[in-house]
Amino acid sequence: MRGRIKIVLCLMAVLILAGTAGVFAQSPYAGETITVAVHAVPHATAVYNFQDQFLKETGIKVKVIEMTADVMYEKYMTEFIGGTGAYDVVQMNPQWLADTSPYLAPLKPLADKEGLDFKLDDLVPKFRDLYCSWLGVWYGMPWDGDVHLLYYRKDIFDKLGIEVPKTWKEYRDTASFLNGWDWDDDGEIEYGCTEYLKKDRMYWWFLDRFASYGGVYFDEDMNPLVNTKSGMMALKNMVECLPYMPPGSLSWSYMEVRTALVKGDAAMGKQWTCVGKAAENPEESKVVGKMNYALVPGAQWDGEIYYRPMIAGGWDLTIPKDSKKKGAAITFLHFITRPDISLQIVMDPNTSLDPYRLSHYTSPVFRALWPTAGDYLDAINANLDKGFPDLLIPGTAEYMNALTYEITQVLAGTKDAKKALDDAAKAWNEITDNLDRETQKKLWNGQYDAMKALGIVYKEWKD
Amino acid sequence: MKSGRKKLKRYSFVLPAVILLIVITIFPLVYSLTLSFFHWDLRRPLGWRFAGFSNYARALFSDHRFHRSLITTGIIGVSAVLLEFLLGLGLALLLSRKLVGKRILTTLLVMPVMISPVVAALMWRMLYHEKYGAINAILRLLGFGTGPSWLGSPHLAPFSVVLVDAWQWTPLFMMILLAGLQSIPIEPHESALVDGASRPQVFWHITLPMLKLSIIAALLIRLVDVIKLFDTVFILTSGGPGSSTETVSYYVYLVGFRFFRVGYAASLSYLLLAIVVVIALGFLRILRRREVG
Amino acid sequence: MFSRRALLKIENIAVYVILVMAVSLAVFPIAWTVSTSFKSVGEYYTYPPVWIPKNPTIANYTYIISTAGLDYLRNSLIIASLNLLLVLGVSIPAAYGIARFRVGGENLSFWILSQRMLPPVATIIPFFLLFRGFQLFDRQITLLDKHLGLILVYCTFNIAFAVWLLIGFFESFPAEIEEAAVIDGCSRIGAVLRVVIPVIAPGIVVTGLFCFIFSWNEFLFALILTREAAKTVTLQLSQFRTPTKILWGEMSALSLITIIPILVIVVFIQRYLVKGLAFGAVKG
Repeated sequence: MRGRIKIVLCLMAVLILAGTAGVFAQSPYAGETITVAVHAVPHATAVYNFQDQFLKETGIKVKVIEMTADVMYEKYMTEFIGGTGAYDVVQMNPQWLADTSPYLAPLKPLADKEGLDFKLDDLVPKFRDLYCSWLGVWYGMPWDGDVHLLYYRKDIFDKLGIEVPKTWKEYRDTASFLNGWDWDDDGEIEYGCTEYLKKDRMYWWFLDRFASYGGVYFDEDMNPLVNTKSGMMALKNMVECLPYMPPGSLSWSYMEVRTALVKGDAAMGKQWTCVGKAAENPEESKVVGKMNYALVPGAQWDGEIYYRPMIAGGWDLTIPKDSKKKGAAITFLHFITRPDISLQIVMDPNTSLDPYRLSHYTSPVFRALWPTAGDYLDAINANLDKGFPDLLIPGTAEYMNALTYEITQVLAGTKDAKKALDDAAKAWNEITDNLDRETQKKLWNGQYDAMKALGIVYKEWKD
Repeated sequence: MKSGRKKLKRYSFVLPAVILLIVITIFPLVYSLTLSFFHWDLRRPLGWRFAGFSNYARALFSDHRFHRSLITTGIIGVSAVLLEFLLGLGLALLLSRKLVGKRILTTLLVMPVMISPVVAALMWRMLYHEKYGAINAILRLLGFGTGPSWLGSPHLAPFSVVLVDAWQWTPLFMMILLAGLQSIPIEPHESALVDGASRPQVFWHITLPMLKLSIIAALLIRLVDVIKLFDTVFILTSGGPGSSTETVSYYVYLVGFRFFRVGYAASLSYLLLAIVVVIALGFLRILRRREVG
Repeated sequence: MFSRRALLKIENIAVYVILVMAVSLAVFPIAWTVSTSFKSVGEYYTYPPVWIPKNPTIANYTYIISTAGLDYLRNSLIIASLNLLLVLGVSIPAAYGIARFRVGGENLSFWILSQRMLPPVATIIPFFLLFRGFQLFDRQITLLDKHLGLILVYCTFNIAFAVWLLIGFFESFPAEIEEAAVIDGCSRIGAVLRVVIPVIAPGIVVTGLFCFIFSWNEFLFALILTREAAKTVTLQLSQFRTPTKILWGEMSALSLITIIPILVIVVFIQRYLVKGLAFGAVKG
């Protein structure tokens, strides 16, 4: 009798132990706390929403450090060169991968060691191939998928019987037609189009024009191609569109452009994907149900239109080389980008994070989120399909800043276009020399080959 | 012997400050000065490479963007500091009168310095908005039409930056001068007024000279600070449109912390330091000559 | 035409008109911040602007209190006040020595001023590397993410400011009065504490106020040298600006809460500013 009771008690103890172990020790890293550095709220909301579930499933605690978005690059770099290992997971712009890769941990060995399947086939191929790895080494998982869309007022276009512009020339003409009068009868003057022209990141509004006119960043010998006819055509179109934008546009950044679109001040505008969700939010939007989405215009070549919408930025999650908890970190990366979890994150307008998995685009739940959500997802897909990548070699930030410095002077009317683009090319050469021309050339050709494989190659504009 | 001890005693007044400053800054200063003679690029794992004077040569002779930013800083800085000084002096003189409600007026006038510059710049960016901003809304209410594009025009944008800086830092002059006025002995004024001097004369010949040291200190400090003007520009315009508001600190920041040319940024910083030292010394010398004359 | 008294009255009215105008210009953006802190998302960008929110909400304030906002406020308070004590503690004697005895001559005072001149970009990386510290047995001795780190770094620009301003105030105090006190049997230190300091108190409090504000509002060093434990409220405020959203309401609420400590100081030190009146100023 006694013996039996003992056995039963022992069994129960074992069961209880196993049970608690089942709850708290599903991961070998249970009990660890990882430090995750992401953008402040709204992005951080995604981690806050799921950290309890993560703790329950793995036993790993997450400490969120909210970063000031504008200055996180410099913050990371100082921590990296100091080798402090202060962060276990960091949010990273794909454009910085070339500069920061020496300080990051390659993900494949980590994933293999833990036996985690990241379902990489389910990632949008362009994000996966161009924006998550560098020189063939996989460093990051997407966290926010970004591409530019052309937003336009479907109700107005239908009412006036105008076509959605397919080329930059049509874009200019449509903007001109819709500019300076009250097309929605609300008693206010409206404008043709709106674009981000503040000096910090306005280059993305130049580059897709430039690329559709046949431009790419450099040729195979690392000679800058910004001052070619492609560059001139792009800049000319921008200058021509400027009068059809709301006053003050030269200082406008994301916030103002988004406001102009969702408050119904402008008929069209090229913006990131998150505006689509904002336009359907009645709390701030005056155009609920009136916005539609299209391919960013292109350039008319013989018989064919070249579309080159910018895959502008986006965000990855990466693991610093100096992290002391890489096992827990990769477990977190796997969890937060898992198809089911990430779908909930990208559907939630409070996170401001956008879809990046193929399964996000096909998800019936997402497609039913608002009446035109299906169109929205299709438009994202179409733009991604034609998408033109950022420059992804060391020094990208400096190349882009030098370009921006020149073209904003042209837009401000203080410099001649040809001179400005020539000066930009000169600055690019100086940057290349400073970073070592041969290395840069090799790295650029690596990227250029990948672009060529996608059918993107420099073509001289004849006009 | 005695004078030696006395000297030591006098030096002991300044020693704590000097030692503290040296302990804190010696390493960073030596480090960054050395760095300014090296190429060090955080984007590439090449480490430090000796550069001789080439960083300085590039900054002096071929970096036109740097030169342009110096001029822009000069224009924005001088207008801002002058505006702040004149407004601050005027307000301090008014506030030094016997007034009912002086405490509350002073407190309200000092409030702009309490707002974090980042928030102030964001708020002003909102206020400057062509359509949704409060400034143009008031102009519309007063019947001035649609109002200008404060940040979007290369001609107006520098002025708009000056305005934000003046809004935030006028209270510094006001408070320093107010404190200076409070500690001025009253007798010279009264005897001068009794002697029939007009009030502007009293101000010019008696009040102003007594405030002089406070004014010089405040002007120098603000000049030094305005050359470091950064957060406001960063948020309001990012240095645009074109190059119209690109100040030298913003440019040096870009070079050091966006482009990570750390060595070059260090040499730009030391050049800037040299320029500021020359200006400050010149400024002091001019004022001193006045004193002699 | 007008009696002297009438003229004075007109002048007084003019003074008030000018001051009230100046006050409204100074306070306008702050009033806008107050209004914004009670707005909800739909009211940030409207045409015409919403001056007073229709359905004022305190959600922004409850959000700040429910998150870590107030911890950062505490960090700022610790850093700014300890830095202030340190700075005034070394600057008052230094300024006195320079003003009264010309210690070190021009060179010393100018060297101190130059501490404020170098752009932070040049020194921030060495500061980071220095503060990273070293491993002592199993403990990391570090100044990163520590209050002490910022307290020390802020000395570089605040001592320069304090010494220069205080020199001016000490020099404006007539040396003869001080000497007279010394002859009357005071020690040198006693004379300074009992005779000089009370007179230049307005100058000292104003200097202290701005030292406090400079530390309070500093951004770049705080960004690089802290992470979470010693993060300042200024840093937290900058976070409300994200690439996809500016959290206007939350930002306004926190920045108004942040003003309160400084406001209290300003109201408090007015006593010294008014007290100074006994010693002079142009009478109206």
